[in-house]
Amino acid sequence: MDEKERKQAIYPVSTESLQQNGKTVYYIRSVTSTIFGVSAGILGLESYYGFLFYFAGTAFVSLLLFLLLARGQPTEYFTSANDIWMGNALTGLSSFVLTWTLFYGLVDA
Amino acid sequence: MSFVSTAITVFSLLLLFHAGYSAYEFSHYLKHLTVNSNATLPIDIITETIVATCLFALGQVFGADKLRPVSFAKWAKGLEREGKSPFAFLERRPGYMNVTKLREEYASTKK
Repeated sequence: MDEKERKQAIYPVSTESLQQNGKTVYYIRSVTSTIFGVSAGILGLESYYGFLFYFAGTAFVSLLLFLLLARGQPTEYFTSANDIWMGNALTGLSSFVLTWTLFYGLVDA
Repeated sequence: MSFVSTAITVFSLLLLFHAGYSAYEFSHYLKHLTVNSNATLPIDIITETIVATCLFALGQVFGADKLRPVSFAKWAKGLEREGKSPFAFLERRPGYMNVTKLREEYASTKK
């Protein structure tokens, strides 16, 4: 058995908790992505600046998740620390572009 | 979702709607009532939009379910406190009862 399997056998992981946490993070990210799209449309951002706004917003949400939900201990709630920073980071991209184009067209009279 | 997080979310959506309507009016005036069409959005609309998005993200994170501990030990500890342990079937095993010992215990307490 290699190191990782050994660790899994001694300290098992509850899959139900993992799934619940994944669902919570996924919901937060998709909902905030739509709102980032709305603000990008209102601000009238175009091409690269819009996507930059999305990544900045996702980083802000990751920071909030790290500080408020995980309370500074990501390994206690996820398998690896990267899951809270970059997990599901790109799932909201399509919702973002959808609301971005919608509100850009609406606000630009 | 708690009351505070719902309140923050609703307030941020109101702010966002107000900022959007202001931006629409601004661009409407710019296009139809002025000649110069190079102006950027006023700084207060921009600030209102950014504050509204930050508040929305904050409200959502506040109102989210608490994260469950991932290590099996801690998760099972939380469950056992409520009484729903995943190993509850092991607490009572009729095949391993020691009847004579139980009889002696009962006899000693009966006196």
